[in-house]
Amino acid sequence: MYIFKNALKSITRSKGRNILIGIILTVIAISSCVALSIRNSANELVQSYKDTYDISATLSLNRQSLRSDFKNSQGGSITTAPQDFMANIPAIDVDSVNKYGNSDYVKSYYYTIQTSLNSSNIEEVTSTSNSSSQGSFGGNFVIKQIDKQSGDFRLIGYSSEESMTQFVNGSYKITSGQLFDFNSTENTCIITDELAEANSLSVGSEIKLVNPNNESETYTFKVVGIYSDSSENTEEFSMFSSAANQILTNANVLNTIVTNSKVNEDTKLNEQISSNYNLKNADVIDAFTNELTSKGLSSYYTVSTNLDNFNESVKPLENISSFATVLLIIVLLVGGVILTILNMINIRERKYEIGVLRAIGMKKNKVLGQFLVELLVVTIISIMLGSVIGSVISVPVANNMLKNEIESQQSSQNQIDQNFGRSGGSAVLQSAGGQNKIMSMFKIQSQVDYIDKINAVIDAKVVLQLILIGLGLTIVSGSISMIFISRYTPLKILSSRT
Amino acid sequence: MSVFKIEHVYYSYDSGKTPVLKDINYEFEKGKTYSIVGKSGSGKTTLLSLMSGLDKPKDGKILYNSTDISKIDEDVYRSRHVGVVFQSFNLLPHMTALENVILSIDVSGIKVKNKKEHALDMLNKVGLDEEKANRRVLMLSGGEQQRVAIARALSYNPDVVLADEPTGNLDSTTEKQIMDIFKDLAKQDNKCVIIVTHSPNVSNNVDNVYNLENN
Repeated sequence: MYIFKNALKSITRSKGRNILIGIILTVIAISSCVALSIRNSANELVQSYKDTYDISATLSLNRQSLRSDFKNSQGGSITTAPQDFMANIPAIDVDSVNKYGNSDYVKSYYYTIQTSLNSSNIEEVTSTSNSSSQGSFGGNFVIKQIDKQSGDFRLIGYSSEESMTQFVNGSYKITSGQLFDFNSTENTCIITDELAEANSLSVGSEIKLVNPNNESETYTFKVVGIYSDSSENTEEFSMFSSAANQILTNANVLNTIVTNSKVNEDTKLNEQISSNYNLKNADVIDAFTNELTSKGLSSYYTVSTNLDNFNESVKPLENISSFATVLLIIVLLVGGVILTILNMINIRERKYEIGVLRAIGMKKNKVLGQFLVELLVVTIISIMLGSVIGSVISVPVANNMLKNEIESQQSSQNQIDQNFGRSGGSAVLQSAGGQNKIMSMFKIQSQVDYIDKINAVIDAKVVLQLILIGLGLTIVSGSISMIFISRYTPLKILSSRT
Repeated sequence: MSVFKIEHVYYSYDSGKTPVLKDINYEFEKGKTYSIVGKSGSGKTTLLSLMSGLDKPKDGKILYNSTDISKIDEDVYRSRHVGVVFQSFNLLPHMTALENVILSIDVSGIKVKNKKEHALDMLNKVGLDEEKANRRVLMLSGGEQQRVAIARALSYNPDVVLADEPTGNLDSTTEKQIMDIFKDLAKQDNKCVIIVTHSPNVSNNVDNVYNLENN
C-alpha cells in the first residue's frame, strides 16, 4: 500500500517530469485512440455491410463457353447455323428457377417472365415521351426461343413485389386501382396510363390478348390498376415498340399462358425468364454455384453476382482500416521507443532515490513496483485524456479520410470510364447502416454504392485496447527499469554520490 | 552478551592483493556506545558497509545476535535489525522529514498503531518539532537533516544503530547535540550505538573505541 502512496507523492512532487511523460503518453493515446476507433469502426462497418448486403446472384449465358463450343461444332463437314446452335441450348424454365431457389444458400429468390402477345381490342401506343428500356430491369434474361413472331404488347409476369423494381425504386407508381394479387390464378393486370389513355381503358376494363402464333388462342385480362412511368428516356435497345405497351401481371398467370402455348411447337410463345437469388452471404457463392451445377444447370450458363460491387463499396473502408493499422503500429513503435528512452533517463536521474530506498531495506521488486505504479498512473490519466480528445477528433478525421479515399476511388473510376468513352460519375454515396439494398441489387452492373460516413466511436473495446496498449508500454519500459534497478547496488549509488 | 560480533573479517577491493580489512575481530554490546576510528583509507566506512549489510566480507563472519548476517535476508536485515545513519544523511529530498521517517516504518513492515504519531515521537526525541517535521528535508539545516536521519534509523526500533561520520558535516555545537542523542539511545533505550569517525570529540564521548590502525 505504501508503494502506491509513495508513487503518488513522487508524481505530484515531480510535476515537470511527469507532465512531460504525460504529454508524450497523451499524444500516443490520442493517435492510438483515433487509429483504433477508425480501424474498429471501419472493420465493424464492413462486417455489418457484409451481413446486411444482399449478395445477388443471377444466371446468364456463358458467352465464352458458347463461342468455344460453336467454333468446335463448325470443325466437321456439317456446319450449324448460329440460330440452330442457340436453339439447342438447354432452357431455364420456371421449374428450374424454383429448383435452384430451393437451396440452403438462398435467403429469397424471385423471377420475372416475359412474352409478347397481340390484342384484339386495344391498339399499341406508337409514340411516347417515356421510353423505359428493357435493360433497366437489370436481370439477365435468358431467351429460350428466338425464332417466333413477336406480339405488340409485352406481358411481364412478376413472382413477387421484390421483383417489381421500378415500383420499388419509384419509377412506376400506381395512379388508380391496385396491384394484382401475386397468388391469383385470375387474369388480372396493370397497365400504363398512356396505354389506358390511348385506348380509353380504366380500372375494370378488359383486354383481350392473342397469341401471335395462334390467333385462336386468346386470353382476357381484367385491368385492376393503372400506373405512371416517370423513368428517364434512356433510348436503349428494345425489341418492343414502347414501354407504354407493357402489361404487368403475376408470374403464375403468365407461366400458365406460356405453358398452354407449348401444346404445339408452332404456337409456342417466345419466353424470357430472369431469376435473381439473394444469397445468405458472400461466402456461399461458390457452394451455390456448385449446387446449381449438381442440380443440372448447363455449362452454357454462368452465375453472376454483385460481389465486385460489394468489394468496391467497402474498398475505401478497407483502405482506411489498413492505414489506421499502419498508423497504430508506427505510433506504438515510435511512442514505445520515446517512452523507454524517457524512462531510462528518468531512472538514471532517480538513481540516488533508488539507492536510498534500497539502503533502508526496500526490496528491488517494491522499488520497481513503485516506479511502475507511477508510470501506470500517468499512463491511465493520459489514456483517459487521450480517449476524450481522440473521441472528439476521430469522427471528423475518419470521415475526412474516407472522403479523400472515395474521391480517389471515384477519380480513378472516372478515368477508366473516360478511357472507355463513357461518362463518369457512377458512384452513389450512402450513409453507414443505410444500405440501399434494392437499388444496389438492380444497379450492380453500373453503380458502386460507397459508404461515405463512419461513426468512429470510442467504445469499451477501444478503451480496453488502449488500456492494453498502455499496460504493454508500461511493461516494456518497466522492464528496462527492472534491468537498471537490478544493476544498481545501494552501496555503489550512495558512495558515488558521496 | 554481545549483540554484534565481527570474527576474522577480511575485505579487499582488488581480489585480495591489498586487503583493506584484515582479520578484524570486534564485539559490541547493547547499552554501550562504540567508535571505530582510523586514518583515511583505513577501512572505517568499508567496515560499516559490511556491518550494515550493504556489502559482504571476503572472509570471516559478522554475527548479529549470534546469527551470521549473510544468512539473513539483506533487505530485512537493513530494514528491521540495524539502523544506519549516513554522513550525507541520504534522505529523500521530495519528502518531508515526517514522510521520510514514515517511509522507513512502512519499509520495515513493523506494526505501529499510528505511524504518523510514532514518527513524530521519533523526531521529537531527536529534537525536531512538528513544524520542522512537516518541512521538506531540503528546507532543514545539516544538523536537522542528520537528526531526521537518526529518527529514521530509530523508527523501527533496531537493536543496533550504525553511524558513518554522523557529525562530519556539522559544527561543534551540533556535533555535541548529536552525540548526546546517541549516548541517550545507548543508556536510556539500551541500544548498541556504533559510530565510525575520525573526530576525537566523538571518540572521547563513547564507551569503547576500536582503532583500525591497530590491525
